[in-house]
Amino acid sequence: MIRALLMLGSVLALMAAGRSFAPVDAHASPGAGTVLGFGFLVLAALQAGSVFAALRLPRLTGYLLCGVLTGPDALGLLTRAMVGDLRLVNGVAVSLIALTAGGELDLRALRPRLRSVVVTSLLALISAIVAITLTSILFSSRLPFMVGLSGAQQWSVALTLGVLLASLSPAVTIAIFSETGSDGPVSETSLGVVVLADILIIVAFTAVHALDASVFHLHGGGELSPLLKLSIEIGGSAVVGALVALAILAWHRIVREHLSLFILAVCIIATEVGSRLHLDALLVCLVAGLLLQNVLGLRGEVLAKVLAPAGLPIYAVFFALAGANLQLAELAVLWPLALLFSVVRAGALLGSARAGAKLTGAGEMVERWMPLALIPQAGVSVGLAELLGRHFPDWGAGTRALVLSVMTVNVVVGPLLLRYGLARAGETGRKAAEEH
Amino acid sequence: MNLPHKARWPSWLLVVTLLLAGFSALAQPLPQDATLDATLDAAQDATRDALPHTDLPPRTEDTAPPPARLDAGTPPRVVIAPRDVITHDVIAHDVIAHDVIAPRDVIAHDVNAHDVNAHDAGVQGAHTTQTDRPRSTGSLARVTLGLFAILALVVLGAQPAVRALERRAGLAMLTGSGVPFLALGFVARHPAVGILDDQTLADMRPFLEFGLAWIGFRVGTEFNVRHIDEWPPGTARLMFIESACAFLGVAVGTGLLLRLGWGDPHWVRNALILGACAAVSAPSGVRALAHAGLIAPEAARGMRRVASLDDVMALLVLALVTSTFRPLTSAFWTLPPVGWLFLQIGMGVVLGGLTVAALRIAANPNEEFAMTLGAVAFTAGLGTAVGFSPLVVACLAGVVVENLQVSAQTARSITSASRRREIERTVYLAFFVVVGAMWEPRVGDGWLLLPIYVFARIAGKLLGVRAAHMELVRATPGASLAQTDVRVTWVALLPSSAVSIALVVSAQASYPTLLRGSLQTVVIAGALASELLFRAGAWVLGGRVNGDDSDLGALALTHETSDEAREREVPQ
Repeated sequence: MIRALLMLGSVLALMAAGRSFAPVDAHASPGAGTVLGFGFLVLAALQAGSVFAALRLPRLTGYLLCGVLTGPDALGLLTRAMVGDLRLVNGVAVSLIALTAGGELDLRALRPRLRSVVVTSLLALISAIVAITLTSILFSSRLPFMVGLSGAQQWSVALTLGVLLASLSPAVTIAIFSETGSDGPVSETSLGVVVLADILIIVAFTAVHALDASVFHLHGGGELSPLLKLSIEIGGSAVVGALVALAILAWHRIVREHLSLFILAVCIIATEVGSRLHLDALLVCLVAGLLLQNVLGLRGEVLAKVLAPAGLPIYAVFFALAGANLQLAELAVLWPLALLFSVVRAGALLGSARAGAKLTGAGEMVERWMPLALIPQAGVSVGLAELLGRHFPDWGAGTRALVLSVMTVNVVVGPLLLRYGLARAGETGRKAAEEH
Repeated sequence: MNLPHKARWPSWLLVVTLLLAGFSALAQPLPQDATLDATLDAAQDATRDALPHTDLPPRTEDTAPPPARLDAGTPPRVVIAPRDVITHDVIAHDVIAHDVIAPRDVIAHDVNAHDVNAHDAGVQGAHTTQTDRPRSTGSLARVTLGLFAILALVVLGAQPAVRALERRAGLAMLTGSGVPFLALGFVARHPAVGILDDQTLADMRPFLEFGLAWIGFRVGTEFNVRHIDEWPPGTARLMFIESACAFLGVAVGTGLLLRLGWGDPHWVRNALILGACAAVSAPSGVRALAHAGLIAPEAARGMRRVASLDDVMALLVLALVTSTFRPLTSAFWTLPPVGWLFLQIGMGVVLGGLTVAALRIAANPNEEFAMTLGAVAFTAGLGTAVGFSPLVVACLAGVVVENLQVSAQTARSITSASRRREIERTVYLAFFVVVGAMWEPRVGDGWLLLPIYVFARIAGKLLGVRAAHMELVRATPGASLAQTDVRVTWVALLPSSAVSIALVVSAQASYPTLLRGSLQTVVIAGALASELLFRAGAWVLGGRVNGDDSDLGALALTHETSDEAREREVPQ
């Protein structure tokens, strides 16, 4: 740990020295800031992860805190421009995570737990949305962006907030599973619930966004209808995902070598193009992974093994960037509300997930420890909140600030709870033992 | 690799051609973005107000319609303006204080806004990025499919088995080098094809910086002081004299033309860069002549070492250039040139030490890989941010890494060639695509400089080899290098190394106004000319260059490590 700390200190010192050379973002060459930010985050985040691992804490939390500390709102070693320019890494990481997750979801093995997964997902989401919506209405006088709105508008905003705050984080969940080598009923059920809930959140958001547009008289100006958008997002993503799966399979069968490079190239394109064609890169890659594992016969283990070398630096940068993107300044102002909503969200998710597991007879271990997988929150909620901020500047910006503040709490606390739960369920390290 | 027997792998070139033809049929102009235009207009007006003493041209729309694109021979507009000033017809990163601007690729309303930062000029809200520009669905699909095709080809082209099949098909010289990818980048950038437009190219800049650093790092890792004693006698003398003569010949020849013929205010800098590019040789020529039986194995080993080490010499020249002619004028630090040089060396050494430390504490091969990737990217970014060449800083770091292998474990992790090779060829291929896309062969200056460059280089090499031979005969008469025919040594060292192209690309990145990109034309075309001269020379000498040895030296996709060189040692 000492060596990792020394290394971390050296990287920070070098970065600070380099950044003291010229005015912010005045680089000799465009692109230098991106490479610098990427290299710095890989080196620093991996060391921070090692320090946290030595302290028996999740590496992922180390990556996140590294990003928080070095980000624009704290030490400022990473500028907003650098963070923005590294968006591509974010997209690629989400795609890789989704591909790996899809590859891990063996539907045949999951079939006995399918009922439990579906019921728990629906119950957890509905409870969380209802609880957060009611809390928003209850505290509407304390929420600046809701003051002055009509009753219908308040309900619409509250419902939107409920959907946004109920979102989960498959990325964090999968990363923790991967880091801890977890396997077993708790891990499998958690993964199914989190992935399904993520898809449901996208559907729910499209519905509430349409409601907001109607209540606030937002004229689309030739934009696509919400239903069409949803169809494109889900249907289009599924179709493109199938094509991606076929391409990967063809490469694997015909070329065989350098599959990781090919997959990376596919992920880059899925990310860049998906965002511009209203496709969800996460869905695209999730579908691809699912098809590869369950239909096309390319085992998820093969994908995970192939992607492991490329995945490590990308995940480290992804989570560090998530940390760097956290709005500490907003959290400093909104922390009482953020804490309130975090508690309400956690209570609703934990209670309903436990009830769902009990109702479907998922087993005692699943009932006790699976709900902890629902606490982490990152990724999709950020994107949706930013979309809202753009479409409804009057109240969307405030909603975005609150969502990011709540997410700040959940993204730090969530991994710790999940790791604790997996350890208590006795599922950590099982994958490594099985491979042995 | 499991391929059907009927597969014709070299046909992927045909596939590319068909794809590109298809894309060109789809080609359509990108939609104009009124918002971006408005932002730029506002920024331009605000800049004009904020900088009353700046010699800014009037707004283009106030005077005449903007030109669509500069063709060869069209006199470029000349603007003198401080960095970060936005005008309608200036690529913003070309604008550097006190530098004469002649943007190589002037496209109306198509400002490369990647590093447009108007804060220095007091303009708020003018920061914008190209990624904000919307594209039509047609062009998006075209770009998507194009990028996908390029990426797939880059990965596919990196396959050793593909290379073997190409050799068997007799296409190794072309397809086994970076030529197709250079051409691919060039064609993809063509407005009629439009796959790699300014926006995509700007997005790919980080890959270019990383590629340069990777090449520099690999060059550095070939210099191990522990192996100096193993060099054949006279190697260092030959390397120093022949590369110094080629460097001086080209620097003086092109310098005179630049100064007296064109009145180039930066003629010293530009001549030094061209001289450095001319100094480097590729090992492929030595290998080919050795296989043809014209060079004895011991002499071939020495000459290959010469061809590897002159890269380091050239990079040292680039270090001197970037220390003396500072590319960044907005820096807080003020140092004399020698201070910058020491800083550059110190930075390389420290980053090399950091890389070794990172590799030593890596827990597993995946972490080693991540650390190497991170260290090279960090080196590239830090070096460039301070205005140095990532090629040079990474080379210095590579030298330190290679020479600080203090434990067997570190040595294994650093020299695990298999892991490096996995991405090596892909990095090279992607690098050539970007270089090809950035190449502006239509600028006529480069073609005028080319004959001087090629002639001065071959004359310098000949003079250097002769001088070195005389010195070797005097100092070490029994050495194999002294007993090799001067003409054979000269011809063997004629092919230019890939580092020459990396070097000029790096210089171009540091000094965007570098003769409007014409130096790239000189070096790329010069490398191809050197290769042809080598083949002619080999034919005259009676050697037959076979497929296995026929990489185009400057565009060869791998740079032999000492281990690989030993593996490929010419049989007795």
